[in-house]
Amino acid sequence: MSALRDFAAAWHRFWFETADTRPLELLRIGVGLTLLLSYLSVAQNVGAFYTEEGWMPLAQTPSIEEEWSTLSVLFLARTPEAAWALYVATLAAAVAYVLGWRSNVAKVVLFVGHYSFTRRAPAVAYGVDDLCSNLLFLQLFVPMGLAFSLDARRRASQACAPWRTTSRSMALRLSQVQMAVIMGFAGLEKLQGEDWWDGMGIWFAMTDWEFNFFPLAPFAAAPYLLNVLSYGSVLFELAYPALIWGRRTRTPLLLVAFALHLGVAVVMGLWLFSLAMVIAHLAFAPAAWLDRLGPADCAAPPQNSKAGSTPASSRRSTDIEGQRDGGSTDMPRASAR
Amino acid sequence: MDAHDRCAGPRPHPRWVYRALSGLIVLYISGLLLAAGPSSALIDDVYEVAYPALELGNINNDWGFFSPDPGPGDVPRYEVVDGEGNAHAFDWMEALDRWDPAYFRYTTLLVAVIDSPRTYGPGATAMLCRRHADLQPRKIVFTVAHQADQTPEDILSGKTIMSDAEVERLFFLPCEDVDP
Repeated sequence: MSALRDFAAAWHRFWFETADTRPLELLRIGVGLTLLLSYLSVAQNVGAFYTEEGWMPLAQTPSIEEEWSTLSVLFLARTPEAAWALYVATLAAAVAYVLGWRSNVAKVVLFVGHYSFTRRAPAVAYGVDDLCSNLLFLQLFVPMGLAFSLDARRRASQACAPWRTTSRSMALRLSQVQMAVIMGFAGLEKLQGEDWWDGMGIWFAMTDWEFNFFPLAPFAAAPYLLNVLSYGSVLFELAYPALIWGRRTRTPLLLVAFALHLGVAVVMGLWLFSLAMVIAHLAFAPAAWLDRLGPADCAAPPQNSKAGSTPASSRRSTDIEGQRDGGSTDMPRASAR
Repeated sequence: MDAHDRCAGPRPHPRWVYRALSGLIVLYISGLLLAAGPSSALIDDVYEVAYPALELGNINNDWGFFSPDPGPGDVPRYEVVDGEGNAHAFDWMEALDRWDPAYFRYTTLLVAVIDSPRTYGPGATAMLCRRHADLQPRKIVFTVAHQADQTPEDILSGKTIMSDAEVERLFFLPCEDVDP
């Protein structure tokens, strides 16, 4: 019974009492920025991708609409003008979301626009869209724009912002678990492939025409490097779901993740996807990084002091739960007895 | 809003709220694992039932980046057959501008056309018939160049990634059928 009670307490702390949910705001900025760049990049193709004059006219690809008949604004309004209006609204919402201006309105407009475009033209949607959809969907249900935003600045007259709400804690944790699942399954899937098992996965990814952005000769002359990079990628992805929760392992792991995605961007040309992944990793941003971006305000737990008795500006925020009190991990754990 | 609400952490909710939220968490994570997980009779049947919820929750992704085996690639191409029956071959993916910011959206589209011809073939055919109107096209033949495995030694010996690629004709669609 006691073990069960301890587990319930740990579960509650992990999911509902995260001390510092500022990483959610980094995800807000990142998702908004990624979608802004993503939609700017198709500015010359709005007609080709999303209208009846393009590659996927609904008259000739009815299965798109049959499957998603109610889930895209562009199924209801099919004119080029409607596509352009939605496009402009989506861009504007992305800008507002990045700046944190009317964040809770902007996120709804951005989600509706993004969802509508990806459902209207699923054949041009790829990993960037999926990742942004995942993260934005979780943000839909929680108050956003409470830090690093114009909204927060507008509310500066309030002593403290209500960051620590149950829903934000839950959304941050789900975003983190999602990243752990993404990385873990990316590693597990690779284990099934002979190319990765033979230490040549990176080579064969680079020699695919679609991703061949970089001269191959330097890599061809260094087969050991190819082996190290291939095995290293798989090991990193497999280790991520376990080690990202640890206080000491988190920062090095994040730095490796950033290096990996930078490499993917440069060598394989997937710069937008790499940006989205880097941003998603920021769900685990340590408090020290966040403190450099802005004041901690109410992020810190009350620590035996009465609410409001400590000046907000003098408080240091905690990292994700379990780090201030000397814990080495913020995975669910039994409460100290 | 009092000081406690604003500064002292989450407002305590009734116990049933936490229980309901915990249920949602379990469902969400189960959905993540189901969408990304392996395939089996049991999992496939559960997946079929859960599919609409996974889509609505935006978590229907398998996240298998470059796996299980990343290469060699398939490179979509096409031929335009004109009114006199002459075939004009065109590069398609190879003709894309790699520095076009929409490059990967186009490569994704082209792969979708050759992978799902029933869904995306007619629209692509209509577009290509319009693009090559000067040839008075009769039909579009979709082909794919299957890249051959090229080892580092092959590249160092002067081969390119398209050396020894085999071109396969996949399907064709008449322009008149798609009313361009």
